[in-house]
Amino acid sequence: MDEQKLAELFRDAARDAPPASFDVAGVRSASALATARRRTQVALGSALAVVLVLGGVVATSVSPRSEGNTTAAGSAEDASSPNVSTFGVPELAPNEASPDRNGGLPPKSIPEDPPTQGGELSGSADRSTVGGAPTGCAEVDRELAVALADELPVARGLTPAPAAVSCPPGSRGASYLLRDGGVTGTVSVVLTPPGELPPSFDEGTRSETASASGGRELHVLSRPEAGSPVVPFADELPALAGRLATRF
Amino acid sequence: MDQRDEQEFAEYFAARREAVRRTAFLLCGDWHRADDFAQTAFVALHRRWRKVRDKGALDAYVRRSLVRAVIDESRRPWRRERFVDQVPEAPSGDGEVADSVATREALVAGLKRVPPRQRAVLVLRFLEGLDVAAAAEALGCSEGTVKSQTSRGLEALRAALGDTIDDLRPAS
Repeated sequence: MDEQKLAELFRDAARDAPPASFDVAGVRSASALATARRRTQVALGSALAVVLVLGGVVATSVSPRSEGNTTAAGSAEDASSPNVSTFGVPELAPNEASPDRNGGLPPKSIPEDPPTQGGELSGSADRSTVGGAPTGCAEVDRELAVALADELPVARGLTPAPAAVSCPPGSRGASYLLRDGGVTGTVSVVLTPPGELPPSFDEGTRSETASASGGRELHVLSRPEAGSPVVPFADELPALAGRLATRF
Repeated sequence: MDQRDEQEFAEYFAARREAVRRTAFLLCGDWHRADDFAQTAFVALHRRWRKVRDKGALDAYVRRSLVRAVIDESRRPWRRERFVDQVPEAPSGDGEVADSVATREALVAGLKRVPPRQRAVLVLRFLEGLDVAAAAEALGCSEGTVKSQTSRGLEALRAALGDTIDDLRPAS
Protein backbone atom coordinates (compact mmCIF):
# COMPACT_ATOMS: atom_id res chain seq x y z
CA MET A 1 0.00 0.00 0.00
CA ASP A 2 1.38 3.39 -0.97
CA GLU A 3 1.51 5.71 2.02
CA GLN A 4 1.72 8.67 -0.33
CA LYS A 5 -1.59 7.79 -1.93
CA LEU A 6 -3.09 7.12 1.48
CA ALA A 7 -2.01 10.58 2.64
CA GLU A 8 -3.63 12.09 -0.45
CA LEU A 9 -6.85 10.25 0.31
CA PHE A 10 -6.88 11.61 3.85
CA ARG A 11 -6.20 15.16 2.74
CA ASP A 12 -8.85 14.88 0.08
CA ALA A 13 -11.38 13.60 2.60
CA ALA A 14 -10.90 16.66 4.76
CA ARG A 15 -11.26 19.07 1.88
CA ASP A 16 -14.25 21.33 1.27
CA ALA A 17 -14.53 22.39 4.87
CA PRO A 18 -17.52 24.60 5.67
CA PRO A 19 -16.86 28.06 7.07
CA ALA A 20 -15.48 27.90 10.60
CA SER A 21 -18.00 28.53 13.34
CA PHE A 22 -15.50 30.21 15.66
CA ASP A 23 -12.96 32.99 15.41
CA VAL A 24 -10.14 34.35 17.49
CA ALA A 25 -12.47 36.62 19.46
CA GLY A 26 -14.55 33.61 20.46
CA VAL A 27 -11.42 31.79 21.55
CA ARG A 28 -10.34 34.77 23.67
CA SER A 29 -13.70 35.11 25.37
CA ALA A 30 -13.89 31.36 26.03
CA SER A 31 -10.38 31.49 27.44
CA ALA A 32 -11.29 34.40 29.74
CA LEU A 33 -14.40 32.56 30.86
CA ALA A 34 -12.45 29.39 31.60
CA THR A 35 -9.84 31.37 33.53
CA ALA A 36 -12.51 33.16 35.58
CA ARG A 37 -14.21 29.86 36.29
CA ARG A 38 -10.94 28.37 37.38
CA ARG A 39 -10.26 31.28 39.71
CA THR A 40 -13.71 30.95 41.20
CA GLN A 41 -13.12 27.27 41.83
CA VAL A 42 -9.80 28.01 43.49
CA ALA A 43 -11.38 30.73 45.64
CA LEU A 44 -14.24 28.46 46.65
CA GLY A 45 -11.82 25.67 47.43
CA SER A 46 -9.70 27.98 49.56
CA ALA A 47 -12.75 29.31 51.39
CA LEU A 48 -13.95 25.78 52.04
CA ALA A 49 -10.53 24.79 53.35
CA VAL A 50 -10.47 27.82 55.67
CA VAL A 51 -13.96 26.99 56.95
CA LEU A 52 -12.96 23.39 57.60
CA VAL A 53 -9.80 24.43 59.42
CA LEU A 54 -11.68 26.98 61.56
CA GLY A 55 -14.36 24.42 62.26
CA GLY A 56 -11.75 21.95 63.39
CA VAL A 57 -10.10 24.52 65.64
CA VAL A 58 -13.44 25.51 67.16
CA ALA A 59 -14.43 21.89 67.65
CA THR A 60 -11.18 21.01 69.40
CA SER A 61 -11.33 24.10 71.60
CA VAL A 62 -14.96 23.55 72.56
CA SER A 63 -14.70 19.84 73.32
CA PRO A 64 -12.75 20.01 76.60
CA ARG A 65 -14.89 22.92 77.80
CA SER A 66 -18.11 21.08 77.18
CA GLU A 67 -16.66 18.06 78.90
CA GLY A 68 -15.85 20.21 81.93
CA ASN A 69 -19.35 21.65 81.94
CA THR A 70 -20.82 18.21 81.86
CA THR A 71 -18.82 17.23 84.88
CA ALA A 72 -19.55 20.45 86.70
CA ALA A 73 -23.22 19.94 86.06
CA GLY A 74 -23.16 17.37 88.75
CA SER A 75 -21.42 14.09 88.70
CA ALA A 76 -22.41 12.22 91.80
CA GLU A 77 -19.10 10.44 91.88
CA ASP A 78 -16.77 13.41 91.74
CA ALA A 79 -18.29 16.62 92.84
CA SER A 80 -15.24 18.40 94.18
CA SER A 81 -12.92 18.59 91.21
CA PRO A 82 -15.15 20.57 88.86
CA ASN A 83 -15.83 23.15 91.52
CA VAL A 84 -12.19 24.02 91.68
CA SER A 85 -11.42 23.87 88.01
CA THR A 86 -14.31 26.15 87.20
CA PHE A 87 -12.79 28.83 89.35
CA GLY A 88 -9.42 28.44 87.80
CA VAL A 89 -7.65 26.87 90.74
CA PRO A 90 -5.09 24.51 89.24
CA GLU A 91 -5.87 20.89 89.67
CA LEU A 92 -3.52 17.95 89.68
CA ALA A 93 -4.07 14.27 89.86
CA PRO A 94 -4.26 13.04 93.45
CA ASN A 95 -0.89 11.37 93.24
CA GLU A 96 0.70 14.67 92.19
CA ALA A 97 -0.24 16.44 95.43
CA SER A 98 3.03 16.82 97.26
CA PRO A 99 2.95 14.44 100.18
CA ASP A 100 5.88 16.13 101.87
CA ARG A 101 3.84 19.26 102.44
CA ASN A 102 0.52 17.68 103.15
CA GLY A 103 1.47 14.57 104.96
CA GLY A 104 -0.01 12.22 102.48
CA LEU A 105 -3.50 11.96 101.15
CA PRO A 106 -5.80 12.62 104.05
CA PRO A 107 -9.04 10.77 104.32
CA LYS A 108 -10.73 14.02 105.43
CA SER A 109 -10.05 15.65 102.10
CA ILE A 110 -12.38 13.25 100.37
CA PRO A 111 -15.72 15.00 100.02
CA GLU A 112 -18.80 13.62 101.63
CA ASP A 113 -21.27 11.83 99.46
CA PRO A 114 -22.87 14.51 97.30
CA PRO A 115 -26.24 12.75 96.86
CA THR A 116 -27.09 13.70 100.45
CA GLN A 117 -27.75 17.16 99.09
CA GLY A 118 -30.60 15.97 97.01
CA GLY A 119 -28.74 16.07 93.73
CA GLU A 120 -28.40 19.82 93.59
CA LEU A 121 -26.20 21.14 90.86
CA SER A 122 -22.73 21.69 92.18
CA GLY A 123 -22.24 24.48 89.63
CA SER A 124 -24.77 26.73 91.31
CA ALA A 125 -23.27 29.78 92.94
CA ASP A 126 -26.21 30.36 95.18
CA ARG A 127 -25.84 27.84 97.95
CA SER A 128 -28.39 29.29 100.30
CA THR A 129 -30.94 26.73 99.19
CA VAL A 130 -28.94 24.02 100.89
CA GLY A 131 -30.60 24.94 104.10
CA GLY A 132 -32.89 21.96 104.16
CA ALA A 133 -30.08 19.53 104.81
CA PRO A 134 -29.20 18.79 108.41
CA THR A 135 -25.47 19.42 108.11
CA GLY A 136 -25.82 22.45 105.86
CA CYS A 137 -22.36 22.50 104.24
CA ALA A 138 -21.69 18.93 103.24
CA GLU A 139 -20.65 20.10 99.81
CA VAL A 140 -17.65 22.16 98.86
CA ASP A 141 -18.51 25.79 98.25
CA ARG A 142 -16.35 26.98 95.43
CA GLU A 143 -16.30 30.65 96.37
CA LEU A 144 -15.21 29.92 99.91
CA ALA A 145 -12.67 27.35 98.71
CA VAL A 146 -11.10 29.84 96.33
CA ALA A 147 -11.08 32.59 98.96
CA LEU A 148 -9.43 30.30 101.48
CA ALA A 149 -6.87 29.18 98.90
CA ASP A 150 -6.02 32.82 98.27
CA GLU A 151 -5.32 33.50 101.93
CA LEU A 152 -3.43 30.37 102.93
CA PRO A 153 -0.49 28.56 101.35
CA VAL A 154 -2.58 25.93 99.62
CA ALA A 155 -0.55 23.53 97.54
CA ARG A 156 -1.08 23.80 93.82
CA GLY A 157 -3.71 21.33 92.74
CA LEU A 158 -4.90 20.49 96.22
CA THR A 159 -8.53 19.47 96.16
CA PRO A 160 -10.84 21.27 98.60
CA ALA A 161 -13.06 19.23 100.90
CA PRO A 162 -16.33 19.99 102.63
CA ALA A 163 -16.02 21.88 105.90
CA ALA A 164 -14.88 19.52 108.66
CA VAL A 165 -17.60 20.75 111.03
CA SER A 166 -21.31 20.35 111.55
CA CYS A 167 -22.97 23.35 109.96
CA PRO A 168 -26.37 24.89 110.70
CA PRO A 169 -28.96 24.84 107.90
CA GLY A 170 -28.29 27.23 105.03
CA SER A 171 -24.57 27.34 105.62
CA ARG A 172 -21.82 27.11 103.06
CA GLY A 173 -18.39 25.77 103.68
CA ALA A 174 -15.11 24.42 102.41
CA SER A 175 -11.86 23.16 103.89
CA TYR A 176 -8.30 22.25 103.02
CA LEU A 177 -5.91 19.88 104.66
CA LEU A 178 -2.84 22.04 105.14
CA ARG A 179 0.58 21.93 106.72
CA ASP A 180 1.77 24.79 108.89
CA GLY A 181 5.44 24.16 109.35
CA GLY A 182 5.56 20.79 111.04
CA VAL A 183 1.90 20.76 111.92
CA THR A 184 -0.82 19.33 109.76
CA GLY A 185 -4.49 20.09 110.15
CA THR A 186 -7.75 20.91 108.43
CA VAL A 187 -8.68 24.55 108.03
CA SER A 188 -12.39 25.10 107.31
CA VAL A 189 -14.32 28.19 106.45
CA VAL A 190 -18.07 28.33 107.01
CA LEU A 191 -20.50 31.11 106.16
CA THR A 192 -23.67 30.91 108.23
CA PRO A 193 -26.95 32.71 107.55
CA PRO A 194 -28.10 35.58 109.81
CA GLY A 195 -29.43 34.43 113.15
CA GLU A 196 -28.09 30.91 112.90
CA LEU A 197 -25.95 29.23 115.52
CA PRO A 198 -22.26 28.86 114.79
CA PRO A 199 -21.09 25.50 113.48
CA SER A 200 -20.34 22.85 116.05
CA PHE A 201 -16.91 21.25 115.97
CA ASP A 202 -14.82 18.62 117.64
CA GLU A 203 -12.71 19.16 120.69
CA GLY A 204 -9.33 20.61 119.88
CA THR A 205 -10.62 22.70 117.01
CA ARG A 206 -10.03 26.40 117.20
CA SER A 207 -12.58 28.78 115.76
CA GLU A 208 -12.62 32.47 114.89
CA THR A 209 -15.64 34.40 113.70
CA ALA A 210 -16.04 37.64 111.75
CA SER A 211 -19.09 39.45 110.48
CA ALA A 212 -19.81 39.21 106.82
CA SER A 213 -22.28 41.22 104.77
CA GLY A 214 -26.00 40.91 105.27
CA GLY A 215 -25.75 39.86 108.90
CA ARG A 216 -24.07 36.61 108.01
CA GLU A 217 -21.13 35.32 109.96
CA LEU A 218 -17.96 33.84 108.64
CA HIS A 219 -16.25 31.19 110.75
CA VAL A 220 -12.72 29.95 110.26
CA LEU A 221 -11.94 26.72 112.06
CA SER A 222 -8.63 24.94 112.35
CA ARG A 223 -8.49 21.37 113.53
CA PRO A 224 -5.19 19.58 114.09
CA GLU A 225 -4.70 16.09 112.80
CA ALA A 226 -5.34 13.28 115.26
CA GLY A 227 -2.62 13.06 117.87
CA SER A 228 -1.34 16.57 117.33
CA PRO A 229 -1.99 19.09 120.11
CA VAL A 230 -0.90 22.09 118.05
CA VAL A 231 -3.52 23.90 115.97
CA PRO A 232 -2.19 24.96 112.57
CA PHE A 233 -2.36 28.65 111.72
CA ALA A 234 -3.68 29.32 115.20
CA ASP A 235 -2.26 32.83 115.39
CA GLU A 236 -3.45 33.79 111.98
CA LEU A 237 -7.04 32.72 112.37
CA PRO A 238 -8.45 36.08 113.62
CA ALA A 239 -6.89 38.07 110.82
CA LEU A 240 -7.78 35.37 108.33
CA ALA A 241 -11.42 35.44 109.41
CA GLY A 242 -11.47 39.21 109.09
CA ARG A 243 -10.01 39.20 105.62
CA LEU A 244 -12.32 36.50 104.40
CA ALA A 245 -15.35 38.19 105.91
CA THR A 246 -14.73 41.29 103.83
CA ARG A 247 -15.20 39.19 100.73
CA PHE A 248 -18.69 37.96 101.61
CA MET B 1 -1.90 38.44 27.91
CA ASP B 2 -0.52 41.73 26.71
CA GLN B 3 -1.13 43.23 23.32
CA ARG B 4 1.89 41.65 21.72
CA ASP B 5 0.99 38.17 22.94
CA GLU B 6 -2.55 38.61 21.69
CA GLN B 7 -1.23 39.66 18.31
CA GLU B 8 1.05 36.64 18.10
CA PHE B 9 -1.75 34.34 19.09
CA ALA B 10 -4.06 35.86 16.48
CA GLU B 11 -1.44 35.29 13.80
CA TYR B 12 -0.92 31.70 14.84
CA PHE B 13 -4.66 31.14 15.00
CA ALA B 14 -5.19 32.49 11.51
CA ALA B 15 -2.41 30.35 10.14
CA ARG B 16 -3.43 27.08 11.77
CA ARG B 17 -7.19 27.16 12.22
CA GLU B 18 -8.14 25.35 9.01
CA ALA B 19 -5.51 22.66 9.45
CA VAL B 20 -6.64 21.98 12.98
CA ARG B 21 -10.27 21.86 11.86
CA ARG B 22 -9.45 19.30 9.18
CA THR B 23 -7.61 17.11 11.62
CA ALA B 24 -10.50 17.37 14.04
CA PHE B 25 -12.93 16.48 11.27
CA LEU B 26 -11.15 13.26 10.40
CA LEU B 27 -10.87 12.41 14.07
CA CYS B 28 -14.60 12.75 14.74
CA GLY B 29 -16.26 12.66 11.29
CA ASP B 30 -18.48 15.69 11.87
CA TRP B 31 -17.71 19.31 11.05
CA HIS B 32 -19.75 20.79 13.91
CA ARG B 33 -18.06 18.67 16.50
CA ALA B 34 -14.75 19.24 14.75
CA ASP B 35 -15.16 22.99 15.28
CA ASP B 36 -15.92 22.40 18.95
CA PHE B 37 -12.80 20.29 19.38
CA ALA B 38 -10.63 22.75 17.45
CA GLN B 39 -11.90 25.65 19.52
CA THR B 40 -11.24 23.70 22.71
CA ALA B 41 -7.66 23.13 21.61
CA PHE B 42 -7.14 26.80 20.74
CA VAL B 43 -8.67 27.92 24.05
CA ALA B 44 -6.27 25.64 25.90
CA LEU B 45 -3.39 27.13 23.93
CA HIS B 46 -4.57 30.69 24.59
CA ARG B 47 -4.68 30.07 28.33
CA ARG B 48 -1.13 28.77 28.31
CA TRP B 49 0.27 31.02 25.63
CA ARG B 50 2.68 32.87 27.90
CA LYS B 51 3.89 29.63 29.44
CA VAL B 52 4.74 28.01 26.12
CA ARG B 53 8.27 29.26 25.67
CA ASP B 54 9.11 27.18 22.64
CA LYS B 55 6.91 28.61 19.95
CA GLY B 56 8.06 25.84 17.67
CA ALA B 57 6.19 23.40 19.89
CA LEU B 58 2.84 25.14 19.45
CA ASP B 59 1.66 22.70 16.81
CA ALA B 60 2.50 19.75 19.03
CA TYR B 61 0.63 21.31 21.95
CA VAL B 62 -2.51 21.97 19.89
CA ARG B 63 -2.33 18.50 18.35
CA ARG B 64 -2.05 16.88 21.74
CA SER B 65 -4.96 18.91 23.13
CA LEU B 66 -7.09 18.04 20.14
CA VAL B 67 -6.44 14.31 20.22
CA ARG B 68 -7.06 14.13 23.95
CA ALA B 69 -10.30 16.06 23.63
CA VAL B 70 -11.59 13.74 20.91
CA ILE B 71 -10.57 10.53 22.69
CA ASP B 72 -11.95 11.74 26.03
CA GLU B 73 -15.19 12.67 24.35
CA SER B 74 -15.48 9.26 22.70
CA ARG B 75 -15.23 7.63 26.15
CA ARG B 76 -18.20 9.45 27.59
CA PRO B 77 -21.25 7.22 27.78
CA TRP B 78 -23.59 9.61 25.99
CA ARG B 79 -21.04 10.15 23.23
CA ARG B 80 -19.77 6.61 22.99
CA GLU B 81 -19.48 5.65 19.39
CA ARG B 82 -21.45 2.70 18.09
CA PHE B 83 -20.25 0.65 15.20
CA VAL B 84 -22.66 -0.36 12.49
CA ASP B 85 -22.37 -3.15 9.95
CA GLN B 86 -23.38 -1.14 6.93
CA VAL B 87 -21.27 1.61 5.43
CA PRO B 88 -23.46 4.60 4.52
CA GLU B 89 -24.54 4.54 0.91
CA ALA B 90 -22.25 6.30 -1.50
CA PRO B 91 -23.84 9.13 -3.48
CA SER B 92 -25.11 8.01 -6.85
CA GLY B 93 -23.87 9.68 -9.98
CA ASP B 94 -21.47 9.34 -12.81
CA GLY B 95 -18.16 10.88 -13.57
CA GLU B 96 -14.98 11.80 -11.77
CA VAL B 97 -16.54 14.26 -9.33
CA ALA B 98 -19.05 11.71 -8.16
CA ASP B 99 -16.29 9.16 -7.65
CA SER B 100 -14.22 11.65 -5.69
CA VAL B 101 -17.10 12.56 -3.40
CA ALA B 102 -17.92 8.90 -2.92
CA THR B 103 -14.33 8.13 -2.02
CA ARG B 104 -14.16 10.95 0.51
CA GLU B 105 -17.40 10.01 2.19
CA ALA B 106 -16.45 6.36 2.22
CA LEU B 107 -13.15 7.14 3.87
CA VAL B 108 -14.73 9.37 6.52
CA ALA B 109 -17.40 6.76 7.20
CA GLY B 110 -14.78 4.03 7.35
CA LEU B 111 -12.64 6.05 9.75
CA LYS B 112 -15.59 6.43 12.07
CA ARG B 113 -15.66 2.66 12.40
CA VAL B 114 -12.04 2.51 13.44
CA PRO B 115 -11.50 2.65 17.23
CA PRO B 116 -10.71 6.23 18.37
CA ARG B 117 -7.09 5.69 19.33
CA GLN B 118 -6.21 3.79 16.15
CA ARG B 119 -8.07 6.45 14.18
CA ALA B 120 -5.99 9.15 15.85
CA VAL B 121 -2.80 7.35 14.87
CA LEU B 122 -3.92 7.08 11.25
CA VAL B 123 -4.92 10.76 11.07
CA LEU B 124 -1.67 11.92 12.64
CA ARG B 125 0.42 9.70 10.41
CA PHE B 126 -1.33 10.22 7.06
CA LEU B 127 -3.10 13.57 7.29
CA GLU B 128 -0.62 15.44 9.47
CA GLY B 129 2.33 13.55 8.00
CA LEU B 130 3.93 12.89 11.37
CA ASP B 131 6.58 10.27 11.76
CA VAL B 132 6.31 7.55 14.38
CA ALA B 133 8.18 9.53 17.04
CA ALA B 134 6.07 12.68 16.63
CA ALA B 135 2.85 10.67 16.67
CA ALA B 136 3.99 8.91 19.82
CA GLU B 137 4.62 12.28 21.49
CA ALA B 138 1.24 13.62 20.45
CA LEU B 139 -0.53 10.54 21.78
CA GLY B 140 1.60 10.17 24.87
CA CYS B 141 2.58 6.60 24.12
CA SER B 142 5.61 4.64 22.91
CA GLU B 143 6.73 4.40 19.33
CA GLY B 144 6.05 0.69 19.37
CA THR B 145 2.46 1.41 20.32
CA VAL B 146 2.15 3.84 17.42
CA LYS B 147 3.43 1.19 15.00
CA SER B 148 1.07 -1.48 16.25
CA GLN B 149 -1.87 0.94 16.35
CA THR B 150 -1.10 2.02 12.80
CA SER B 151 -1.14 -1.55 11.61
CA ARG B 152 -4.34 -2.39 13.42
CA GLY B 153 -5.95 0.87 12.34
CA LEU B 154 -5.25 0.18 8.69
CA GLU B 155 -6.64 -3.33 9.07
CA ALA B 156 -9.76 -1.94 10.69
CA LEU B 157 -10.11 0.67 7.97
CA ARG B 158 -9.75 -1.95 5.23
CA ALA B 159 -12.29 -4.16 6.94
CA ALA B 160 -14.68 -1.23 7.19
CA LEU B 161 -14.32 -0.17 3.58
CA GLY B 162 -13.95 -3.51 1.84
CA ASP B 163 -13.15 -2.87 -1.79
CA THR B 164 -14.54 0.64 -1.79
CA ILE B 165 -11.13 2.27 -2.03
CA ASP B 166 -8.50 0.55 -4.10
CA ASP B 167 -5.59 2.30 -2.42
CA LEU B 168 -6.34 0.58 0.85
CA ARG B 169 -5.99 -2.92 -0.52
CA PRO B 170 -2.98 -4.61 1.00
CA ALA B 171 -0.09 -5.11 -1.36
CA SER B 172 0.23 -8.78 -2.14
